[in-house]
Amino acid sequence: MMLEARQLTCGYEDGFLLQEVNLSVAQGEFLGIIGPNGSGKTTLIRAISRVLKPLKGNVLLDGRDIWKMDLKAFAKRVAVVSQETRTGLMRVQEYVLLGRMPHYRGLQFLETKRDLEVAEKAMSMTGILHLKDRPLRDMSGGERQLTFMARALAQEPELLLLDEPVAHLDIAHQIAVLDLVKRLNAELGLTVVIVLHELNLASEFCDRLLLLDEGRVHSTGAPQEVLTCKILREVYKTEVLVRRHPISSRPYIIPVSKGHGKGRT
Amino acid sequence: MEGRLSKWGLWILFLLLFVVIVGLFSLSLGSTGFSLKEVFASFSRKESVAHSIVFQLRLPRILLGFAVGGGLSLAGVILQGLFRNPLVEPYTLGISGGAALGVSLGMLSHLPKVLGMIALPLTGFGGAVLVIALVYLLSTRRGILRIQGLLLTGVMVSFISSSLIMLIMAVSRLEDLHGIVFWIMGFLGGTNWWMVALMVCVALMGLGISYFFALDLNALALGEEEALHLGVNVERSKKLLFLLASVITGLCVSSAGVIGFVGLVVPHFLRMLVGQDHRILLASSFLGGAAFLVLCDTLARTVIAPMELPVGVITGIVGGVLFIYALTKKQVTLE
Repeated sequence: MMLEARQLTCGYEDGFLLQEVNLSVAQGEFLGIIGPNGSGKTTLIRAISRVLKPLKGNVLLDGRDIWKMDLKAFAKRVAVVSQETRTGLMRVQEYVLLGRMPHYRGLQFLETKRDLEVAEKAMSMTGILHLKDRPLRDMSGGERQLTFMARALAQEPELLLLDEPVAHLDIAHQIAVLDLVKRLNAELGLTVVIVLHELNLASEFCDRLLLLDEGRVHSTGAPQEVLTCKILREVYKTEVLVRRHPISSRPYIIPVSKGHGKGRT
Repeated sequence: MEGRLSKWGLWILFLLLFVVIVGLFSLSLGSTGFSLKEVFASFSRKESVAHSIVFQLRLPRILLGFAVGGGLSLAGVILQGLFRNPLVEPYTLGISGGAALGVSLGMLSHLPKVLGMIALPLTGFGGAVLVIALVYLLSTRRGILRIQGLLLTGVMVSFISSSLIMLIMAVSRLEDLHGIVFWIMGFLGGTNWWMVALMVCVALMGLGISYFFALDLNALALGEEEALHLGVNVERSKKLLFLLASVITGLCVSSAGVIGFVGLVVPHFLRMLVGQDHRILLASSFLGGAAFLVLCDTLARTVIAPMELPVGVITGIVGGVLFIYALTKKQVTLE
């Protein structure tokens, strides 16, 4: 197992707790974390990305406790794209180059030629190379998200943690970002753990899903095992229909409004 | 990116040149004016009047101005980076308030008569250190320095100290009152070589140390969590940077009084000019601040010569007007 959380319990001062979460991600896997608002998805990402210290249990990366690892060594292997990122007046290339920071030597002060090459490659992989001199705040949501991805790629990680990378994006950019992640997973063998809100996207793109409910793992497995009518009703407390996607034959969720539900029965 | 290093080099060269020109200009100007030729001539003629004015009065004052101006701007850049807030300046954190309170107490208790010249800087630094320690302890919880809490605590400590200073002023005698007021408004004159040497060393060392954190500051611009994801030891960097900025500010205030605005306006201007990469911003703000303060001080001692204005008044007026002008010209984001 590449990444493993054992009996992980952690939380905040206001009482929210993530309780006894067990999680294991194999090398090259594409794991989706889903669950209702406030179920602890972001908390879980923060716990496995070394931001939030566990109260109990531990998180292991290749068998080593992440809290015993050197910060830089951890950042060389694990890249995180979180929901809230400030970018100030930074330009795309400047921002992407920050991803090289974990690779700097002790007193290195300037980017090396290799750093510039890696950043350039990351920008071309995400398709934003032509925007490299643009300030980030002038860019659209989709372009910004691709820039965040490029920064993460510049870290040359083995594990990519993404927290709702497609929230607030239109459907074209949602697919563009997720196709990119899928390609990185397939071609570079990058292990991916991704928080997704949209169940249909999670079903379509992830190998395996982990469903959180009120800070606990409700169920985990392949999309067809997790995304069932019964489980979704129980966790989301909403009426849904589950069908098969006509092309990928993965589960496809159709929400049903209360009015319609009554009309039919 | 390839041309960036040479661009940075040019900025540094340009600012260095600016500092030298301001220095020479300031050496020649004053209640007794000299031409540049006379200034240069006075270097070699040790017994001339020009020599004693230039070397004993103006040069130490100018060097102190460079060190204090550079130090305050440097502290400003560091704190603005740390707080991700361009409205923070070294004095927001209550350090100047503490120093001013220390000095006022020192004057009230007639310490200068007992200890001599060194008394005011010493009491000022004592006050600053006390405030730094207080603000720091109040804002740290479970080993984590809470930056926003730090800002609020600092502002409140500032208010409390200025109220206490007013209380002291209300009960102090007239001759002490004048000293306190003058000191609070900032004064670069009447220094000695020992103080000048100390401040120049502190400012240059501060600049050197800050460069170990230049990249960390760049990463911190993205937020603390993002910086952590990039492998920055955020807690350590935050604490050391806060202490560095505090010590520099404390020493500046105790050697030259409360000179506002330098640490706020200069970093802002340079951010507009050189960009926000701290690798260039730190050094260029240092140089810019040095030149700005000496320029203001030259104004302060020449406008109504042979009388003098407090330099803090000039930095406030000049800085404020320039800043408002810049705001109308170029959009400044608060992000």
